[in-house]
Amino acid sequence: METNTAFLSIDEGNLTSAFETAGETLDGEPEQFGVDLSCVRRIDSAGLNAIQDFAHRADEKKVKVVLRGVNANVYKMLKLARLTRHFLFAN
Amino acid sequence: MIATELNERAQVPLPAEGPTAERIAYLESLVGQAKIAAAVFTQFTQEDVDRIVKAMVLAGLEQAQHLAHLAVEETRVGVVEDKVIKNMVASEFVYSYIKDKRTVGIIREIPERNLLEMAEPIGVLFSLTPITNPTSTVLFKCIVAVKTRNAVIFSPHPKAWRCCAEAVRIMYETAVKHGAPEGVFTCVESPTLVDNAYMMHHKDVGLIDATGGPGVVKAAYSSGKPALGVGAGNTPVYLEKSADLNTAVVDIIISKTFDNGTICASEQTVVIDDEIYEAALKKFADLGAHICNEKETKLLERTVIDPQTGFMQPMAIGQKAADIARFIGLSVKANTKLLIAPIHGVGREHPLSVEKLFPVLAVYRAKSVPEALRVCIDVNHAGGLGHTAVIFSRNEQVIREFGNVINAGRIIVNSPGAIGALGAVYNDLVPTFSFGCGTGGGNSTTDNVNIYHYLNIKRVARRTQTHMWFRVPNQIFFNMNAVENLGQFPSRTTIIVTNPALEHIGHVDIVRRHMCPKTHVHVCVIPDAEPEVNVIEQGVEALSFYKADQIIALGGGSIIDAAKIMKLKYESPEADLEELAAPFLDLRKRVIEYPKEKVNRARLVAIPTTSGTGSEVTPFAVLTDKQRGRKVTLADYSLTPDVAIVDPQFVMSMPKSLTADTGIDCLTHALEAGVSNYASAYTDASAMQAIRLVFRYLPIAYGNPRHEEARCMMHNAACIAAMAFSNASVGVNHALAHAFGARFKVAHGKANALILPHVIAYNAAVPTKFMPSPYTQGYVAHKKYATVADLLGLGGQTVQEKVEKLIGATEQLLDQLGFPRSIAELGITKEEFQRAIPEMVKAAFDDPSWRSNPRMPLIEELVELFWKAYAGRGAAKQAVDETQAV
Repeated sequence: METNTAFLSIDEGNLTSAFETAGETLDGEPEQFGVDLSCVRRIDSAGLNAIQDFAHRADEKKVKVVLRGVNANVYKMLKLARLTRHFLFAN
Repeated sequence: MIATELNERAQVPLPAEGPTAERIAYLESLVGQAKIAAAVFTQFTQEDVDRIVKAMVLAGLEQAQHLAHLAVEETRVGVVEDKVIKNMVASEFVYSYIKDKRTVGIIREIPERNLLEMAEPIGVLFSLTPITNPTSTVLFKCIVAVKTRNAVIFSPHPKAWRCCAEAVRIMYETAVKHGAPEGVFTCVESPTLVDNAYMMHHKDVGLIDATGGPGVVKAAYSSGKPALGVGAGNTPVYLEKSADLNTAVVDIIISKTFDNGTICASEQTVVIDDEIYEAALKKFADLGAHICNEKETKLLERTVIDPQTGFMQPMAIGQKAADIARFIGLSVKANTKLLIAPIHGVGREHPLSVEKLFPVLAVYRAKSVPEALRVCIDVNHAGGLGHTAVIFSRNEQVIREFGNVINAGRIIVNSPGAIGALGAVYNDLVPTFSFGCGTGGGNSTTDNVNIYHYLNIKRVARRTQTHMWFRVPNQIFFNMNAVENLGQFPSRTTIIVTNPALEHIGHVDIVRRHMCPKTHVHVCVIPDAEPEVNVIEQGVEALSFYKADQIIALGGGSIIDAAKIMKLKYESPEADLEELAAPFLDLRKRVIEYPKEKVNRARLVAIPTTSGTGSEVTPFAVLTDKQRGRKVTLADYSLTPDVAIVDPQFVMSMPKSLTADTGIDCLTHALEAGVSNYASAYTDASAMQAIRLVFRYLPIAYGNPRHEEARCMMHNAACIAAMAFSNASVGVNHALAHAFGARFKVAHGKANALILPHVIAYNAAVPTKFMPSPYTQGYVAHKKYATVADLLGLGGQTVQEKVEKLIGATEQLLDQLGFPRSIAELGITKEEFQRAIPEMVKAAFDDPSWRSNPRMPLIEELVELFWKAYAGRGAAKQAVDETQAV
């Protein structure tokens, strides 16, 4: 069965805007959304807020979001912000 | 901080309803911001936070005056000039303390303990700040929070909200400008008790940092959240007659008038020695204090203390002395700095003995040091427990006594209480604006709160390579005629401890022949049984009477044990054998220490006449206390003989049964030491060699008792095995054998033999419960047995096969030596054995021998092992088949 999946690869420099744009992509209601964060080593407050908004939007749309390549520091930060429950994580 | 805070912020009953939905949304937005900021903060490096902190400190210094003006304007409490100093101390002095401290990642390495300490931020802090030190407390907390990568939600005292909000704004803007996460500080607008209660219970708040009165502290601690609650004080001061009066009076005035006495560590009641009382008051008066007469004191009591609550009146807090005087109608000079009121006791009937955060000071005239200390203790207990106390004295003994009897986190000596307690100015205390008051003040700490209270400190504890040991007598002589070496040990008087039989067959004469010619020799003949207390006493009497400088123990384990204990009591008559036998888990950490001071000294030479116990090289001795019906086992390396002479000529006449019993005891020692959790390469070498010698020579010595080589090798094997178990200990086999042997009067070697194959199978299987041991890497008992099998050339491919071969070889050896195959064969009925099981299992479990066993025996397993031994040898093989291989 074919799945309707969207992908996004993110650089540290464009993280906030990329997640904001990704939020709009969710309007197309893909079944699954994959985000590659392997190039992201550090996230600022604006970035984390953008991820939080994106997560809530994805929840509303019932879109499964898979984060790929999340390093331990970023994962810990997402955990502290109580955001990990919104995502699936892949290596 | 103060009772008014308590009244306003915590003692007022909470409204039954929580915040409105709108208010909740607002409070949630603050927590949400702080949560994100705290999460982002975790990515910051030490350099990042240090850069931000420096900028914040500079901003604090720059804005110190601005914030001081705001604080005084808004609160009408304190002195602008002093608040400027407070703001600067909160910035600069705190910075000086924290700037080089590590608060990110690894904060301390302790290589000698194999420890790393690492910092983990707390996350979101909810912080209540006081009216008395509003802006300085905010500056302090902001700086410390950034240094430790935490976000803070402030809830200032409502009457100091504007100045605190301004301080938060300055800190926040500076921090964010220099890279701190947005939302790192927020300030609750128009905070209420309901808001505070909501925040204190919020799941995303990691720590409540409450600086305020006892009510605030109690509310914080009652929330169920981790909290730093820092509350009220009532500082007693002892002005002792040896003090430098001029310095003391000036210091007290500095402190009590600083910011009009608003620092909760400031002096409240000064207890002055009678001899200097008048001089002290004159000095106070000369320097601008007004000394109240009795009528004026009564007026003060009625006005500045609330007669209902017994606490200070809020209107007086932080006001000038002259203003207070004017307000209550007391006539004083316009430049009066301080109102001093003599009091005659402490408590409700002496209203001025409580905390007074304004320049009113109580004084008490004490007739003696004990009286002065009693009054200081009373003040300390009248609302000041755990907080601060001050002493002015040059008498070190009095200072220490004061420190001992006063319960205060800060005991300030010869310096101003308020500024001294803040730290880093008059002393080396950690600078702070939050004084921990310990349990006396309902707090979790007595520390000056600083960075380390804002951190979770993680300790990375690496496995340490525990020191081990291999301790044996200084000199061991072995092989035939080794006794000739006795001649090299000069002695004026020697006592030979032996038994009647050995004297009878001429062994004592052999020994005498080889001693130094001029030695006076006395023979102490004792029964050949585990030594009893009276036997030891007789021996010690003989040693003392003859002033012996050498003891020769000639005999089996019991004789040598007796000589060890005689030596102990001879050298240290005060030694309490009962106490020395106290149980222990680790020899190096035992509670009881063996005596080091000795009134006599004697060399102990052990000459064994059996080949099994190895007592000639062990640090153990067993004593029977018949009066109390118990055995006492002593264990300490100081009991180890100084010289061992392992001469097989003394065992050539051993009967066959004794040869078998002692030989199997030796084998059990070696096998148990080999798999012991305390085994080392040193003990392994001894254990393996002893096992090899036993398997080769014991059957020969048993079958042909006059076989010189076999006797010699078995005698060596016993000594070598004892060297192994002296340092690696034994195991569960011995625990079971001790219990069974004692209950059914079965010889120790025979008891060991009946159990040994079952214990090998038991230790070789997957343990139900592993024994914690820092000495071993993983579970290796089965592999050790396999190594033994290889050493003996028993064959087998897998570890399990090798273990089975070893059990088989052991059973074969036991058969060769004529041991019964089961406990049942001893004629003990099943019912009789069943009845004895509870007592034997209890005794076995109490026995320290199994503490080094590789597998931790469960009580039900001890029962099972007893029954396997009862059933007989086939059960051991069956046990291996049934258990899962490791």
